[in-house]
Amino acid sequence: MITIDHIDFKYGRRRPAVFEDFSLRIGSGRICGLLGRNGTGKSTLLYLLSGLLFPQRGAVCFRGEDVARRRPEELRDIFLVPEEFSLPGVTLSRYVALNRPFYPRFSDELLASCLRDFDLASDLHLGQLSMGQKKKAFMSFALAAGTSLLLMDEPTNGLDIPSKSQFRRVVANCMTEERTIVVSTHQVRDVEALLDHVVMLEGSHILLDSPTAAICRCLSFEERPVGAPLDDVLYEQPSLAGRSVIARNPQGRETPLNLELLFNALLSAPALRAFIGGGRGADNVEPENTNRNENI
Amino acid sequence: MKTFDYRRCALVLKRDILGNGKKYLRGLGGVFLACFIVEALFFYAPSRFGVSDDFEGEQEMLHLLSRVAGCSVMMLSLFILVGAGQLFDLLKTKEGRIAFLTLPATRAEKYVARWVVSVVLWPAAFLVAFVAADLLRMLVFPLLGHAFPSAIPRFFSKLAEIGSELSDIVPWLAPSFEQMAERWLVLLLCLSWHAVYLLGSSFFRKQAFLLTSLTGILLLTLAGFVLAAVPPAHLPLVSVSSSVAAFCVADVILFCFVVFCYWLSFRLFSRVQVIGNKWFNV
Repeated sequence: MITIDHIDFKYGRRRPAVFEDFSLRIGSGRICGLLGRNGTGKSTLLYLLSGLLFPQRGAVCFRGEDVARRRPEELRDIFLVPEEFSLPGVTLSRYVALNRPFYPRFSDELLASCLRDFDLASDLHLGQLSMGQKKKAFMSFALAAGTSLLLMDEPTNGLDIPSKSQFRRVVANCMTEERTIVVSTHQVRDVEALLDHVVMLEGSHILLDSPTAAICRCLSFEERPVGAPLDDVLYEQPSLAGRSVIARNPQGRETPLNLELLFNALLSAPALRAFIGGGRGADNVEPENTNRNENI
Repeated sequence: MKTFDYRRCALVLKRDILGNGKKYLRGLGGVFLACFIVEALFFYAPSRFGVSDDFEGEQEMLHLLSRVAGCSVMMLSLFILVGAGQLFDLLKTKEGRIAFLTLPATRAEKYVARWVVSVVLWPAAFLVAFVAADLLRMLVFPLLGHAFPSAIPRFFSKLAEIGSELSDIVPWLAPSFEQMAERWLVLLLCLSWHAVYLLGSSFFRKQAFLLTSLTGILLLTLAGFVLAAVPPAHLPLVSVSSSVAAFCVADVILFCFVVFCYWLSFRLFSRVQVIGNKWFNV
């Protein structure tokens, strides 16, 4: 669905490159998490995907068409929910009436359902909402627009605790085989249960590009008390319960994915990436490369 | 792909006007207030103390109405330039750029929709505000115990005078070819200034009107110095012996300049990115 083909991108001639010879493919029917440290280019990548920025070299294509051309045929099938946005001071119904003609697959039923799940009334005035409510209303519109590609930048920022679980429910309900959702976030705990694919960026390169199922098949994420055996552990870090560990998973036991732990592990032990990507088993990871993190 | 769809362009226009209705109404209110203050400053004293009923008094009244009409035409001209400077006002914030650039319409449709707002609706808003201010003055002044005739007829007759002078650009209405070429020069000079402000709005990210004005003044001053330094005989335009030929050459140059400004303005808009230079859309 989306092909990023050997792009170079930097914000100015004297500025360091955000992406250098960067390539990525994102297929349809998945919720893809875009994770990375501050300044690694997550938001930049979303802007490149939506045609808001132009790469200096290479191309970003959506269904084979260069998004930098900003053709309505592609734009009507891409929706970006930025971290910060402005909504006009009008009622939601007027906002919908003014914007829905641009999105041929817009669904009133889906909008009503999203608003209901977010505990929002359908007759609200956008100028009178708090930031979190505005975000929920805007995300409801974005989901109801029915675009094949939905890009979300820090969608859970500004949402209260109940709204975060509402967000997961709403997104899961709106997911279809034809749709791809790319979520860029620092708040990994808010979305890790939702994701079925993870792309981790580090220093303008891809640290990990893997389905969550493949990760969980190779690795188990556990909390182990102090003194418990660590023979099968690939990475560990101290936690309140003792040790958070990533261990080999030869039996294929399914444990909940801990993205924060995985991200820290990949930064400290890059060899883990080959292990997950290849899915070839624990023997491929050299013991000295596991680099158990004792510093934290 | 359809490069221009009238229906979609109308939707962009509708979205712009109705979505920013409050902002535009506030702007209209500001212009209305400005027009009312100008009228009050001109008319308050003469209407309070009255003008004599004789010929001189009538002449004085007509002169005053003419001055107000002239002042209003100047305000309208300024407003047209300010409107042109607001062509891409909505691109000055990152949020605005994201909302507008990701809107599913072609670049030409978005450009034309914004052009209609800044070039057609802004002057129309001024006319509405001027008429409303004059009517309010006509309503309020008698309540204060004094009155003065409406400036609306004089204002519109002034506009009609300008229009009839410019009608000489049409070959069968112009008394001579030289007159037509001269009128074209005047019209193209006005269009050039307007096009420069449209270009400025596409080029400058913030304070487009102000920065375009300052840049224009700076460039004209520099051009003045250069022209003063170069002997006139060396300039091809001045060396043309016939005035008709000089007008024609100037017309062609100005026409090309207007087309160039529009082309560059559209090109700059097409290349706008969400994050870029703080001051310029490059």
